[in-house]
Amino acid sequence: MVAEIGPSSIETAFILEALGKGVRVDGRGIYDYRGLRIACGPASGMVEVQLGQTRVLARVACEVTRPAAERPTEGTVQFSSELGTLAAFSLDRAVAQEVSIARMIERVIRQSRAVDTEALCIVAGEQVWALRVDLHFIDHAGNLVDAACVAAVAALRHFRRPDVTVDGGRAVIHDPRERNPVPLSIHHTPVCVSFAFMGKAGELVVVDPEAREELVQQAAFTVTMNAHKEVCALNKAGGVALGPEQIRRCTQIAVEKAGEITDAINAALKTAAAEEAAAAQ
Amino acid sequence: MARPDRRDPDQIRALNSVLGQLSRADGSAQFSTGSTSVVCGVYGPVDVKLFDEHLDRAHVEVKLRPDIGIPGPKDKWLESAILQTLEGNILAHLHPRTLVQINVQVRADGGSLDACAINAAILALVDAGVPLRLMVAAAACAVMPDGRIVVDPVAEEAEAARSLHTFAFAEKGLGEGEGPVYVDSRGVFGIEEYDACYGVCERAVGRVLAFMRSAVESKVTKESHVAGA
Amino acid sequence: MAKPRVVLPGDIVDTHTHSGSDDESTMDVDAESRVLRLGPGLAQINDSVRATAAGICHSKDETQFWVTSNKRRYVAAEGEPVIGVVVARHAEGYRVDIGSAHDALLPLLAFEGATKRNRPDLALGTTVYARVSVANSLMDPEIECYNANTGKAEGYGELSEGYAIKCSLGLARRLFSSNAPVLVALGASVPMEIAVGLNGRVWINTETPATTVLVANAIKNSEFLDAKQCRQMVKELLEKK
Repeated sequence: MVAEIGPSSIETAFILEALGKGVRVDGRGIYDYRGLRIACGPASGMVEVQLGQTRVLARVACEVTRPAAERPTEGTVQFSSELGTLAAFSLDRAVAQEVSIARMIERVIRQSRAVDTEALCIVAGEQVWALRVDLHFIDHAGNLVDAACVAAVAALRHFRRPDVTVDGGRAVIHDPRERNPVPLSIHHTPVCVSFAFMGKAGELVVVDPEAREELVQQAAFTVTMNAHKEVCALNKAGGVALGPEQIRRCTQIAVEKAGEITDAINAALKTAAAEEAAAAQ
Repeated sequence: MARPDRRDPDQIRALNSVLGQLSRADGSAQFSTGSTSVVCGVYGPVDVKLFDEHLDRAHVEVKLRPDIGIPGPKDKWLESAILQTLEGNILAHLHPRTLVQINVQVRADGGSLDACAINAAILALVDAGVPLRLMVAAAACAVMPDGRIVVDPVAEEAEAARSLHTFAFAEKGLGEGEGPVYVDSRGVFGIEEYDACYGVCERAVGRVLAFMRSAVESKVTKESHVAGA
Repeated sequence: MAKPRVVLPGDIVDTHTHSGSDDESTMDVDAESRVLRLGPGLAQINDSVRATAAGICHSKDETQFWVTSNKRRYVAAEGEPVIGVVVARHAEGYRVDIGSAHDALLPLLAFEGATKRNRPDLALGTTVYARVSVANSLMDPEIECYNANTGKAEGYGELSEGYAIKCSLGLARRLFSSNAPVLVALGASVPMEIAVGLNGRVWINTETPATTVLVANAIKNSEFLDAKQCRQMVKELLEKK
């Protein structure tokens, strides 16, 4: 049978016993983040993130639509993700997980106003840009949320939309070959840092859980922060109750990790820009 | 008239492949031709839903996800094209009452996606060790408005083309039928043009197969070098 | 003996070790009507013997041919030791996940000393080391936790502590062949217990969790390393500890 049946008894026992002694099953330290690789391009708004063995691909696309009546001067950003069978064959909890990931990324990026939606307006009440961010899970080795969030924000920052000029209330959308496409207006770069709590009372905590750890976790907790050390979102959906001290500790660790992740995103975008400039010559 | 990427008419874009990189899939391959790139993961033989169970053979299914947007009719169509090209090539009778699932994820479509997806799928099947009859590969070409035939067209060429053709062939010289295992021709074209496209794609497939062979051989050698040591 | 060579699906394997008998093409090749035995990765298609998987083609005594390829999905084969996890219990036995397409059946009586009165009691999620006793493509596989000939456990049975990891089937096979470089290198400095399932699962038990994790990582790292690289890798891991 292939359906994920959860870890065996000795596996669960071992993961907890080892964690009690500060040892993780892949040899990492409790607060070690796995290696993060971010590849931007070649297409605009295409970013693939690899976090350990976890792989997520983000693609951004845009089209011109009519704005919603109640927000005539704002464009839209829509996120879609599906944990298909490629990344994980018939995971029973897959459906619930994929919905929660898309919703979470959406909340993190949209509600923290990372994308300037007013800058997506072309003609008020008539035409706005509708952005679409597709998140594809290619390999699932734990902590899809953090990888997906990095992929989404990096792709939004890498994306270039066609340039537009408005002439007497009529919008002219320029072909990318005629006029260079323009970047989106992004206010800040929120990134997620996830924790897994294990043990009966959630007394054992790790950052960036891998797949085996996620299977035995009692609670998941995600802190979303930006480079300004501002908390953008906290997410804990059910599981064992956590004390305020645990939350505070996680937030402190998240500050450090978020800084490193943001640096990695900036470095990857810089490399991509340099490569594009070299290719254009 | 030069091609947008200054290639010769019979020149395919640079090929690239990575085998067995996915941690969960039983076999996987990422296959790229220029900017067109597809990643494919195969699971099998695995447990099959009762509904799909065949008592004498494995059930083969293909699931394809486009790079942008939700799967539409075009993607469903490509899904069935991959299935039809490969199903007959899988020795499904060796694993009755099981499922071989081929998951195809488009990473980027810069033209000639169909051929790229078929090539990624076959490499992933080889990597998974699913028993196969023969090596198969695909290539595409376009007939431009001025009658030129260009192989492995980029998206821009495909858009302007008068007709588009994708062929898949099995490896030659192995005593099997020499005809194509998959043909897709669309647009307006004459029989001479079709024949010419057949030849162009057949030669291109030969180069793709040679590339695949060296990719698989190097992985096998890498693994066996270890075993022999 | 023919030199091992890399084959891909569709490649014709030359089973004619004596030259000039091309007209004969059935399973019985020679005048003495040699019977060819085709192992995994080979099949007779039409008139020729062809590879069906990518791998290295081996032959023995000019009559046995097989292809070794590195897969990840297990297909049960009789006599092979496997590590499985109990997923269900029925009146007549347990269903055990051994990583193959179908769960294996482990009869209640297939244990050392088991009788109708004295049955083993395994909870769901229990890890067992067992031997495949029935395997064919038409039936669900069966496994047993004892040697049916002697009635003794001979090391099979419940694995009650330790930790199990997954690896490729090729690596499992190498680990099983007693002198795998990584195990030799580890064994020289780390006391440990190991059980290798040819279904790509390795059970490890050592004195401390840290050592178990070290052994697990060393085994996983050894996938693409030769003997010398293995020794170096193990040395580095031990130094880091």
